[in-house]
Amino acid sequence: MSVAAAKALGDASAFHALFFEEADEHLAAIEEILLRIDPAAAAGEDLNAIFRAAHSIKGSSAMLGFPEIASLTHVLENLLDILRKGERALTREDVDALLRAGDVVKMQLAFRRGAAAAAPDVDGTENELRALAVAAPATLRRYAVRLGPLAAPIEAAELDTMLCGLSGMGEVHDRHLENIAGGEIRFGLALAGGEHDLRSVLTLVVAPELVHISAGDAAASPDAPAATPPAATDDELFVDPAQWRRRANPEPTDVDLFVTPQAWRARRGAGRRAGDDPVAPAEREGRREADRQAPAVQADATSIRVSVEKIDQLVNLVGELVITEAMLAQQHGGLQKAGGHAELAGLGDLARHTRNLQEAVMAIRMVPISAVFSRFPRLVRELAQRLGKEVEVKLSGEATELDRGLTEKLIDPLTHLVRNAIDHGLERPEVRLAAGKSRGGTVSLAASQRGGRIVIEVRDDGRGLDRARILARAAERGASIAADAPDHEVWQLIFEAGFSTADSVTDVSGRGVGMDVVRRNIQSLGGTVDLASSAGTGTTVTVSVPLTLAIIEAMTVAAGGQTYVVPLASVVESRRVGKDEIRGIAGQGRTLRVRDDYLPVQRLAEQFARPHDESGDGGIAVIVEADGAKAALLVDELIGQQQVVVKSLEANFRRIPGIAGATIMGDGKVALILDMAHLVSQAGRSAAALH
Amino acid sequence: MSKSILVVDDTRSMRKMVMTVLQAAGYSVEEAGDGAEALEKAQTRVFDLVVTDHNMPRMDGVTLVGALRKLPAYDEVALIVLSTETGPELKAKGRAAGATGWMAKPFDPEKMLGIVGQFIG
Repeated sequence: MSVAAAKALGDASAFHALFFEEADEHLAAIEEILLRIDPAAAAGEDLNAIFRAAHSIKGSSAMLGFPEIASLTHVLENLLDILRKGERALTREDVDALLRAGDVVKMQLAFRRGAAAAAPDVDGTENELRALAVAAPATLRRYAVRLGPLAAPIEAAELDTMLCGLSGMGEVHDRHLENIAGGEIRFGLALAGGEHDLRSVLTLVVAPELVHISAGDAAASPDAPAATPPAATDDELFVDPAQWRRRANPEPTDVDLFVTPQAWRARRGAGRRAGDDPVAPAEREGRREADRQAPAVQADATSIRVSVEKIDQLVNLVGELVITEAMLAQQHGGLQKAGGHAELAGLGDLARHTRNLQEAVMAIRMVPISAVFSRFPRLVRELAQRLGKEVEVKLSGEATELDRGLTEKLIDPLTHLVRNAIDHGLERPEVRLAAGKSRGGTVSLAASQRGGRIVIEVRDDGRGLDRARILARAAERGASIAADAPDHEVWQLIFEAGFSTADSVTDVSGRGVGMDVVRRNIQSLGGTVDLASSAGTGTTVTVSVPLTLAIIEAMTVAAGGQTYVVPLASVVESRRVGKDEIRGIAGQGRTLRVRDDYLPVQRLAEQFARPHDESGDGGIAVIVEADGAKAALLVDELIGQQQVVVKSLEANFRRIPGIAGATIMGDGKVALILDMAHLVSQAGRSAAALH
Repeated sequence: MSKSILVVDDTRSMRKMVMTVLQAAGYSVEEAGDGAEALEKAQTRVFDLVVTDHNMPRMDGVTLVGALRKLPAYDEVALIVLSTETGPELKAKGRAAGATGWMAKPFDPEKMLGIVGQFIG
């Protein structure tokens, strides 16, 4: 683009964000199609859709001055054009090359948006695509032709013309011309065209029933035609504006006016008279043809695109509204006694509307889980190839919606689970066959909404967990577990840090630093991980996470003059405890007996170094549960139960161990949201140290 | 009143660029994401000029041009195809369908304004 042109367009970078977003969508669409496409039965519509997506990226990238992307998508488009026109059948190699090219475009985009330090080389990919962008070589086929028996001789001139015409199509050899009544004309012919072409020439001279053609072997192919000539490429992509001349120049240029503006204006001024139609009849026919091709007009779904920041701002504002509403409700709690019925009704309405508004706003942030699932077919395909396994991936419940913030955080844990399933779970084809199973294994991902939670199942039909090996490994690590412990207790072992039963370290699943990380990640989202497995039939890992991270039901407590928020999901019960109920050594490990359990005790004020009276009453114990373990948190006071809007402490301040986030209370003060997993495990450790 | 232009392109970023150029020159611009949507919009009001991409889902640019030319109100509206494709056959098809001109992508904004200005300036 020339400098002047850039000026007319304004700041081109203003279009970059839009282009990047759009290009990402196109690339995702291309990948999705390539992964499900069956080369043997590729639908034309799929190839068209990929072609259009590449075409779209090409047009804008050329405009925005990303020549590498424009050039690569141009070569990509050439290959796709050959494929969509059916000039050559789609092959597995094409799919692989197209996927790789998509990756290179992605990396180029990452570089252009500043997310990658270096741009990948595009030449190699372009050459690979060019090598594939070759229409099927026209195969020469040998035909043996027999015309006869002839009722009467063919006129010599006609016969000559026919043979001459055939020579133009291919090489005529072994002529046997018995051009007499009852005789036959025989010859061999090698030509690139099909039998149909040959027959149509022959029947010009001889009656169809006298034409006998037998097709022979394929002859040697002529040299493959060169890849689509790139000659027009440069011109098309980077037209030098100076080269542009008005329509006086009949050469193809980047602008072609079919009507001179002067003529156009004159015609408009004069108005059009009947019979003055400058369009030739043939052109009119062309128009009618075009009309017939016009598909029915469909109404498009109306939607608008909104930036995530705007939605987050809306969520924040609604959050403030929720807080204000809670504050009002708190301040006017005494109204009932005072008989303020109208005010109470108003407050009730406000609460209801606020909640509805909140739900509506949260719904905007919801995206289908397909955003996460869509990456797995590619991952599975590549892993399976690398490991020499045959794997089919099945997705279900992709339309299940969850908070956008959650989708990003689910990618890593789910990727890990899918990798585990393929690497450790699924057997090799020969092992499966020997076990009476199908050659290929299946990994299925299923999402569903259950109440306020999203449940995602990652299931494989592989060998299942090896109970004996896990127990043996646990024994090596010095874990105390009975040999006859129930399965679910045995499976818990693999969630421990560094636990691995893998025979060998593979580059896929690494050293077994896996399930503990998966569980920790999921727990940080307020979720849980469960595992079920049976030998020989497979393993199912069930991940459950809340629908949203933005709002939680919580219990507010006070300790050391500070308000803390305990996620209600982890609260089991709360009770007043006397000092003598807490046993152990002060400052180290203390336990509280709750029915038959001795639970580790954690004094909140002490944890966060708040002033507290060590000799005072026990206070109130909030029994909480996380990671399947319980602990008692000692607090001074229970304040209440309410919804709180979660604000990231990391984003606004910094990460603090034991704190999951912060919220603003009705009175405007900041309260810290407790990280239950951390506090419970810490309480457990100090109690264990005591034993 | 400023002249109105309908910009048709399935690529959002390209559409936005064309629109920005035209809006900056003072034209009032409407957009459509494909030929079918454009035809729908064109049936409810008459634009002074249409700039359309060719390769689009649902209805391509040349087909749109043909369909627009069939509308009596569009007899005298300049229809310009803006496409990366510049093959003589396709251009001839566009011409036969009733296109007024053909511009290649990537386009030079000033040149585009020059062309547009010649028809509806």
